[in-house]
Amino acid sequence: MSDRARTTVDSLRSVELAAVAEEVASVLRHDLRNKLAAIRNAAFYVRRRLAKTEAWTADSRLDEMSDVIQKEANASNELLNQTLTLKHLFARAVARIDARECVRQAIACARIPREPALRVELDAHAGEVDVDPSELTLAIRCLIENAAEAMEGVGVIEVRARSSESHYIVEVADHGPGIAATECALVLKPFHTTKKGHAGLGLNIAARVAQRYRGRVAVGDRPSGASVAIHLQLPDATHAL
Amino acid sequence: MTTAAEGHEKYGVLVVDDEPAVLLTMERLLSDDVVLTTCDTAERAIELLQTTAFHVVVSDFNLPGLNGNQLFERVREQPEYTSRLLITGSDDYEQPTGGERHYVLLKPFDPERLVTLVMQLGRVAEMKRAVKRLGSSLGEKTS
Repeated sequence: MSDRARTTVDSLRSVELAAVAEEVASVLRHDLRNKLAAIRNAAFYVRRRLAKTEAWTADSRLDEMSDVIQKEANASNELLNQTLTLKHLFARAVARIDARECVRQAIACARIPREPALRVELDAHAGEVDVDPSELTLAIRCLIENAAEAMEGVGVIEVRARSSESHYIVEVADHGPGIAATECALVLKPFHTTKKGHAGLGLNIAARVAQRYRGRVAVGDRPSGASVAIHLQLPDATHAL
Repeated sequence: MTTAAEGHEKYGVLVVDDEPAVLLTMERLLSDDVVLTTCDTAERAIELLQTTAFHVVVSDFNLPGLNGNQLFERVREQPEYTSRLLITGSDDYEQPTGGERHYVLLKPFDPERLVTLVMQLGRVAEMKRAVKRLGSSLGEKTS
């Protein structure tokens, strides 16, 4: 491996680690905030009801304990919010780039079986987007690796990339078993996976990257013969206001 | 909606959240002051909107199936103005672009703030509906 290729792989690795850490932390923050919301609501309700009773006036420790619950819940939320600063540890280098280069880079770096077992067919057109290229490469790589896993490493992955109206769309289609209608809404949920030994974060990381640059990831229309197509859509920089 | 002891109409409020403990505690907080209906999916909320003109819809953002923003698109199509309050614990929630914006409360919110906000949003819906009725009635008289 050349020095340049090694540097690219190392850079992608660090972006991937940052993305996984950010995803896990974000999911934990979300879930814990839900728990804290329930605790704060319940504590407030109990206090409001008990404060009207003789027991409350007779025993000052009830007020004291109620205060502890509320203050500790607030402090826990503050701790969670402090972890938001971790988001800034990864310095992004946003630039106007040809997204096609990220598509090519993602295919080259994807951790997937290679020919003859698995073949990636590419039809990519140029298109300018404003992103950190390492992050976009990672997002597309996640879609490709997800497709390869769906096909258990055998078959053809179709990657198409083009500008369409005001967006640049990367479509990754596979010929695996497909997604049941009931699963469509779940595939972008963190930790959702039907594959043993997988964390279920790949599509979620891709979606978070897309969202960061005002784009989205969604299950899209399938090309003829394919069983699933995931679309990553970003605003086309040449159409920006 | 039912009539309160003070003679005021209680606001009809629909709360949608798939987290059982959050839904239960919000129900307990609000049920003294409003006529409350709860459910845990946007799809069920849309069914309820077909039969009831709520003053306020309070919804979590992350729901199984349709999310809170998508639910609010349907709420906006209601014939009567309905206030919308989104609650979320997500770091990076963003209002949808275009269209009318809705109110947002971040979890874990101050419970007292929730009650106050829901009552204010109930009043907003009531006033907007009254203005619309007045406009229609004036239109009928002048035509």
